[in-house]
Amino acid sequence: MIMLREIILKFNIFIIYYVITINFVYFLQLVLSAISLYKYIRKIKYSDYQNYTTSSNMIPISILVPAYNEEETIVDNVKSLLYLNYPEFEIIVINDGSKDDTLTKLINSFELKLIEQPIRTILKTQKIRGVYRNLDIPNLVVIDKENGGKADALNAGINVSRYPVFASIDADSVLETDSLVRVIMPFIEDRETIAVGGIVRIANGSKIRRGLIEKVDLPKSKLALFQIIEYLRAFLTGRMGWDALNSLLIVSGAFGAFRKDVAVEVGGYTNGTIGEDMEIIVRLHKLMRKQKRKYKIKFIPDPVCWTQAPENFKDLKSQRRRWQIGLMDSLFRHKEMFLNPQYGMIGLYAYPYFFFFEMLGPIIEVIGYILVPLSYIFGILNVKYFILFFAAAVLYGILLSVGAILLEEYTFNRYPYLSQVFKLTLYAILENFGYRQLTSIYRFEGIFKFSRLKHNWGKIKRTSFTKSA
Amino acid sequence: MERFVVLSILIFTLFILILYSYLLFEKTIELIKYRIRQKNEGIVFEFVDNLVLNLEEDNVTDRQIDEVKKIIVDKIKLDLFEERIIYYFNIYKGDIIKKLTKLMEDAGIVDIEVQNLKSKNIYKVSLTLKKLGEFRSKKAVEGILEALKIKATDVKYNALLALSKIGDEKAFIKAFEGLEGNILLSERSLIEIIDDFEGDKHYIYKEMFNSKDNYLSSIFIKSASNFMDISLNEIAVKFLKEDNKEKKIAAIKLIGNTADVRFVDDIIKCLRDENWEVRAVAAKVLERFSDERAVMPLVKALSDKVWFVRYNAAISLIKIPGGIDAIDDVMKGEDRFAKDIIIYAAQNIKEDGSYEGEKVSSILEKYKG
Repeated sequence: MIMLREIILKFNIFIIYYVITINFVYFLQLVLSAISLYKYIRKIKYSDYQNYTTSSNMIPISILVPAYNEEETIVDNVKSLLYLNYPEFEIIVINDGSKDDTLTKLINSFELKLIEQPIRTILKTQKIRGVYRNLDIPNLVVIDKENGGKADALNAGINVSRYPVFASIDADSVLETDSLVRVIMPFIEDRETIAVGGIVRIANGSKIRRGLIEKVDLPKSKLALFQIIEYLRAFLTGRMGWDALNSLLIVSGAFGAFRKDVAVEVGGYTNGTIGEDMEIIVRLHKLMRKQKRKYKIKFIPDPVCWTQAPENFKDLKSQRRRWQIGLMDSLFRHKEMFLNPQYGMIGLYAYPYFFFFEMLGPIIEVIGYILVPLSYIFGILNVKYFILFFAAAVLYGILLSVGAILLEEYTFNRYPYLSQVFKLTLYAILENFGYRQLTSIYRFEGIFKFSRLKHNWGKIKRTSFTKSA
Repeated sequence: MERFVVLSILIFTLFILILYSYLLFEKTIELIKYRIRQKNEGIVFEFVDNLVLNLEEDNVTDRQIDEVKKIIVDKIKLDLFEERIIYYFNIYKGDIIKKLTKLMEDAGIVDIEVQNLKSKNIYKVSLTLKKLGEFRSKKAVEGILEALKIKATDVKYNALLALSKIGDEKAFIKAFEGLEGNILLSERSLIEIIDDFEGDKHYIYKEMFNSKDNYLSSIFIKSASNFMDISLNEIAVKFLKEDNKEKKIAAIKLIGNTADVRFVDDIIKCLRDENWEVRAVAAKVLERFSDERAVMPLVKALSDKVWFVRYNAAISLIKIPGGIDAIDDVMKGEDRFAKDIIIYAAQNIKEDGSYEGEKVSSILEKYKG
């Protein structure tokens, strides 16, 4: 009994140290992000990107839009893409055997016709049933293929694409009009760039017309508000921090651009995984570091891509489970990178971070939330440690979220009104009392459903942007 | 541990407070600057507008220069003055630009900005380089060449762009040759800079085509293909026989863009090149020559093992005189790859809507499924 008590006590102390360490790492990322954003904002003053919007020397780009049961948003999405301000681009929508009217809606809305097009099979995919085009919209191609998953759909898009850089975007996302120029600039400015990720913002509550963001506002849904805080923290502090260390392990599937030759060299997207966005980035790092080639995977903090956040618990649960499974899948597939100096910062820092803090985090957090109060109730833990645990877990969380809001206000200021800042700050506090724990439980659940759900598209219910605005 | 947790929370809080105070400080400064700007904007802009209006007819007078000197003593007014004058640099062309440049030199603004190039802040240096480029003053050339030694991509980019706008041929060539292959800028951004060159382009192309650095040579040839100067083809044709793939492709594009029939046979020979990218570009540019000599070599290229070569050959064949008749023969033959690519190319041409629509439609109707 004494031994069990001792073990529980030790475990409680481990949890507190774990919470301190993870938050210390987050804090370092916040500092790195603040420095990077400071530089980025200064750079904007002399940035030449506007000149490139009409330049014939701009890299032409293929936009890949994988779609599976996206009948609600696909037409708006394609319309918004057609408005993009960029000299030369093509939009390739890949209908991955949708069971709803995705294809029919596309065909009717854009008056598409089936054409005979030979396709180069650079990457192996499920059978392509047809290619559709419209004589008057030459830069729109719709591919209809047998279901094979998102990665398979993206690979089919790569096969059909004509340009040296491709951008993958989610069918439920809306891009800002100059987002392509911004995402392509790192390729122009630095020839070592092989992939670029853009920041993803939450569109819920904002006014979207004809597929364009007209007015940015906060949503009424509390769940979506919590996610705005989460996204700001994840992108403005997390990814910006990783970018500063050239150790970015994820380029969001919602919006990322890749050099096609390098993506093909690593075999494209991996089939049978739902974390294909992380998976391809890890393989790019692996290939480049193994071959000792110079490369950069960049993150741009400009708000360029807007997406719908789930507004009900069921969809949120499905999304978080999917993220957790995707993360685990990628980490397990490349376990040889773990603490392997051959992979530099990736092997020694990024991979262990994702393994210990992002993958195992939910387990330790959930156990902590159960074990610490129980230990206190049964007298194993004294009140001092009990308060310490909650102070650490909650206060750190609040501080980091407030930090992310401040960075947003300092840089892009998309929520300029004081009322919006106060509301965001309030939710940055409130999210620590229920929401954070809930998402940890969802991710915790994902760990146990890993083997069953790892090949799933994991869709969440979308509503039309016009309806949601 | 308790002390550690409390201490770390305090440090975190302190950092957030510093961040918050900094944010407030920056916003306050911005607000003050904005108000001062607003107060002075009308006066300074009006002064510049009148000055420029006057320059359309006359030269700058000493009195005007003295007035400018008085204005630019104030940093915010200097910024406003520069902002407005850069607006005019962007909308005007010709002699008035020279007058504006002289004004910037005589008023001492170029000297002020050249001094700013000595700053250790690379963001300030980059911004200064951008302004100096707009002012197009040769007085700044030395300072810009010096700034090129700074190991920061942004600085190098803005320095090259500034030299491009100033248009000093020798300085521009010196800057490029000094890059020593260690520049991170992409090929496209370098071509953009060369395209923007405002001096004697013919001179810089002639000099740089023969650069010992193959990479530099190829980007200048690529840029020249946007310049469309037929006399450069005579220099570029020798690169068609070179081993360097990039130079060869650049030369094909250069000659192809001007459709210089003197060299059509040289381009046709490139359809047999061992490198598929060279063959593909050759197949593509042959369309522009509209020369029947290309028909049979292009028919042969329809059976190339690489899709891009086949596709470009098919497009070119459809578009050049005598090509469609040759296609008819191919369609009656046994080469499935050649037939497939012709159908696909014909569909794309039909979409294009600008070439022999009826004949293309007849191909599609006759042979499509």
